[in-house]
Amino acid sequence: MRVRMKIRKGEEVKFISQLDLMRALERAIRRAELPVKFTEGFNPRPRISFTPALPVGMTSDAEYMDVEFAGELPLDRILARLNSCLPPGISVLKADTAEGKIPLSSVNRAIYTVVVDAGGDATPELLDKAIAELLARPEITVTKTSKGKVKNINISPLIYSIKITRVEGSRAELRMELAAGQEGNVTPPVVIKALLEYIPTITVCRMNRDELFLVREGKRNDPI
Amino acid sequence: MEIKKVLDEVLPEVSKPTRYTGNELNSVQKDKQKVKVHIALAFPDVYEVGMSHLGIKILYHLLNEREDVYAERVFAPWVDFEDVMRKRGIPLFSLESKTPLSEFDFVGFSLQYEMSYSNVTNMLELAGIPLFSRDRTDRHPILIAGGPCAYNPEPLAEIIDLFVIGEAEEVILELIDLYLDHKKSSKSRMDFLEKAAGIPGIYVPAYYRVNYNEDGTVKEILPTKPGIPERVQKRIIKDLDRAYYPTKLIVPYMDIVHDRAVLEIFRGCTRGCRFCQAGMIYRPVREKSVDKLTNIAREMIKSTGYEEISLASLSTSDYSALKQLVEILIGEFRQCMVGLSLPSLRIDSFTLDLARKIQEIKKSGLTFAPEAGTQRLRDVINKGVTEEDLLNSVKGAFEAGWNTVKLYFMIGLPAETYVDLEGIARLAYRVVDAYREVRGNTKGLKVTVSTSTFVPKPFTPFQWEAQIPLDEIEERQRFLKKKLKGPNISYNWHDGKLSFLEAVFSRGDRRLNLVLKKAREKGCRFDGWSDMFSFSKWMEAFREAGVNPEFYANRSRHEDEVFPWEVIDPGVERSFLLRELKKAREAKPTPDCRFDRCHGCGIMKLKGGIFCESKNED
Repeated sequence: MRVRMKIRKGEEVKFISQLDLMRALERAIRRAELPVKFTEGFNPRPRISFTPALPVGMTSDAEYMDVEFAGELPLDRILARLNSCLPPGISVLKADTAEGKIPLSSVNRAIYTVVVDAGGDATPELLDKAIAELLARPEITVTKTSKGKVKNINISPLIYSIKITRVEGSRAELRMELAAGQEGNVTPPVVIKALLEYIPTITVCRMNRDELFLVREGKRNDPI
Repeated sequence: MEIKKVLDEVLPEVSKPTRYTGNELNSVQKDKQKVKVHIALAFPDVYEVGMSHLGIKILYHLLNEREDVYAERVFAPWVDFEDVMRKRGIPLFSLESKTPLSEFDFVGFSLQYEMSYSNVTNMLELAGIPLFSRDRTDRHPILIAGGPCAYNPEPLAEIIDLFVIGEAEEVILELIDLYLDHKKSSKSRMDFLEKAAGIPGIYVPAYYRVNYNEDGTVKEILPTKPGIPERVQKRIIKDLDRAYYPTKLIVPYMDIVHDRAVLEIFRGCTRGCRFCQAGMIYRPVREKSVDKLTNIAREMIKSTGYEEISLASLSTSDYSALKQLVEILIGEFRQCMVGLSLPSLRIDSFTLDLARKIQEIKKSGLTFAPEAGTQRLRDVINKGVTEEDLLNSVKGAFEAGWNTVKLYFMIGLPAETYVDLEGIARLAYRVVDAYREVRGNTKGLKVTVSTSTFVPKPFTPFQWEAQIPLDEIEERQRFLKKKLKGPNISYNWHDGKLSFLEAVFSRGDRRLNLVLKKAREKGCRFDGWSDMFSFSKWMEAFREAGVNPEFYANRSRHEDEVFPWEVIDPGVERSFLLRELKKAREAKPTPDCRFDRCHGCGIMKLKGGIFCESKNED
């Protein structure tokens, strides 16, 4: 049976990479003595797949994995056993069958909560203005370095919305809805970097991925 | 400063931030206010190296078993984070509770290789702890060090307060008990150190005076107070089956050097290779039983979820019930896909058969360590392997499908000539011939020859010998480079400059403490990492300290010379080492005492050796 799980990555583990998280979950499954299926061949691997990588340094309430088990197991038992074996900061929020659900690789959108400090003399009003100006631009070019190559990309079409949801002194909580996944991906740190052009004193206090889903033909499809 | 908060801010900019965050599965969280003794286990290298080390794992969990003790870990920060720490004024802190090192009762360093000494001094600087023992006061932590390099403690004698000699599982607890008493008494730090010097296995250098001869050699090392032992005998655990062994090992998030469950199967080695320090200082041989090991393995996998178990010892094939153990472990873990790896395996028909059962070995290729290129030189170093043995094993491996072979040699061994170096190349080509013989061609074959440079080590038969001069090291490497060319052969070698420094510190004395201070001022650290190592800075440090490094590395010692490390008693006697040196000079091998008579190495006095029990010394 193939089981889909929604996973939380908390403060304690926000600096671990996607690969580290995968390994930690694989080892937890072994500790929980859950009968996972392995790939055939010379170097057998557990049959587990994940949603696209979360940037390092960010917490998340919306990571997903599919695990293929040998035989049928009650979902609540899988959830309980796995949660009792996970290291601090990682937990399984939900488990359901993966049958009939969207493939994990198909997700294309994410919602984040980003708490920033405007810093210096900047006020939340100034931040609001800067966001409006940024969103009004047809082109927002940022440079990206991957594997030593510097690339210019336009992130404007990858930003769906940025809203200020709370203000406390010089701190503001932002809700960002951004493209995520294989078709196009932009992350909050990149958006913040673009905002620095307007307010160079912004610092990030906290980032969390709240939701991850697929939008197809204007309709939202959640992985679970 | 709240270190946790600052870390949140700076870690996104640092490479591999998980090195500094802690919180791994099975790491221990305690309230530091509620314990009586707070001890930092410091490993002078990066997280992924230190976390791979078995000794730290044992001590960490052993100490944390006690409710009144909190043991935490600390590693050397990589250079990018060190820069951030210095800029932001972040003091070196422990992984678990993020406590500055300077606030601990004890800081214990694990000394695994000489070239990590510059990381010890750098870590002290980052912690804001004065470098020299004499400059520290009652409010500073007590600095402990242990590990193989502690067998010559002298190059760090003015830096470290006390050395633990030998296996620490028992003595560390005795030391903690003493400290608990000391805390109640409100007496001075020196009072504690003096009492500690009375515990067998503990060396407190402040209570010894070194007198030198006119030629710069050591005349004598004398205790300066009554009650301080003349020599400090190493400690051993007599019954490993009853010794503490951790099963709830920390499971790191990041990829570390040895990321697997480690199962220590025995300690000690009876082979008697004359260059090998481990083979002498870890005697006698003591094994764990198959039953005990099976239980430990089962517990470890249950509490870690690791996908691999690795057997640990100096020479896996020497475990007396290896076949039985491997079969049980394979049977036990086949179901949950836990692999088994057998490092330090002597390759012969028996182990090839084992290896075939264990796929793991296939991936990494096979490693052979003939160490020297000719039979004569192998007899000199007492490496009991013949060319025919090697070629038969290699052929067996090729027949079984392997096509990658690594050959390890040492250059600069005592009495090495260019004939022996030719022999290294000849052996490599004979391995290629063997492949052709088995497979009909050389398709897919890869033979890698690696040479390190011989470093004479304390408490080995070669402790009297000189290292060859640096220019000669480089000349011999060039010679081999020319000889080892071919489509299937590649050659790599260790930096000769590093081996030279290793030779200085491995047989150094107290005068090197000043060199370490100078090297720290010049910014030396991570010397074992080739991109960080600066030979010229070290040479400046020697010059400024007025110390001639060649005196330590390149001088052969007189039979009667007193050695700085002889304040330590490793159990193995000087007279045995000298006998072995003389046999080496006649190229006479000494058979492994487990199959032969007792050669009288002296270790019998410590008891516990499984091959000593049935023998009388000759």
